[in-house]
Amino acid sequence: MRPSRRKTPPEVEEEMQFHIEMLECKYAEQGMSIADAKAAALRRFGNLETFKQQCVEISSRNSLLRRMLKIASIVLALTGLSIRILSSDVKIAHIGDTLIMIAVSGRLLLYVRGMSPSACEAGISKAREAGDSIKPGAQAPGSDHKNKPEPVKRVTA
Amino acid sequence: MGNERTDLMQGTLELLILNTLARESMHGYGIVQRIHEAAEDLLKVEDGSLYPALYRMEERGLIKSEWGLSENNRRAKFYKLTRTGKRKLAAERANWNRISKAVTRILQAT
Repeated sequence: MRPSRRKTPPEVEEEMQFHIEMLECKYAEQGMSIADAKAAALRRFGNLETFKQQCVEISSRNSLLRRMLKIASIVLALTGLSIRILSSDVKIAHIGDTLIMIAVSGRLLLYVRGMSPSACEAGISKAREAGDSIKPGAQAPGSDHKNKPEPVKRVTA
Repeated sequence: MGNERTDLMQGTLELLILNTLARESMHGYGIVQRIHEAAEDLLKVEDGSLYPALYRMEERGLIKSEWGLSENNRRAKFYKLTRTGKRKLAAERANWNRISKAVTRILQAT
């Protein structure tokens, strides 16, 4: 039986692609031709497909938990809403409010933690299609200077 | 000195990642480069093997990640240690020291 292969999420793909392109850039700076740099980068990285699949497996374990939490928050919100609507007692209605608040907070927390900068992804894919490979100092498509994180120490080989 | 490169012992990659991230948050490429530099290229590590390790460590809450901009303004995923990760690093360092001391003693005794 063939092992099941999951679709690689764009973030896993992008993260590994970044790594390979950085290696290519390093080798090109050392004087290799583009083709040699590409081959050397892939050799150095190892079995790209296997590593991708491993990461996808691990990510999907995470997303199963997230799905369960999402369902739990919906159930909690509906329960709270039902209590709120059906109950005439103020104290019991407060319990409904609390349940709704817990569900909404949980859902917001899940949303914030799982937020992906998908707005950038479209721009980056377009740039890739246009053949925009590594150019040190080049501005990333969709990036915002105002939100630039703390500079990371440059790592040289 | 020869060009021999040693395979990384099972389980030690995690310790190396934790140790590398102890100083600052880094992206995967930066972590591997730092490990290669520190080991003076004596360790045989396929760069890609880092990623399943990173994902597993994030799943266990030892590190967390966020997207940012790399030194050349490329979008990259940065990893940093969590409080649990810092505790794990301290424990793993102590464990490593115990093991290496024990193995050295055994080798010297025979």
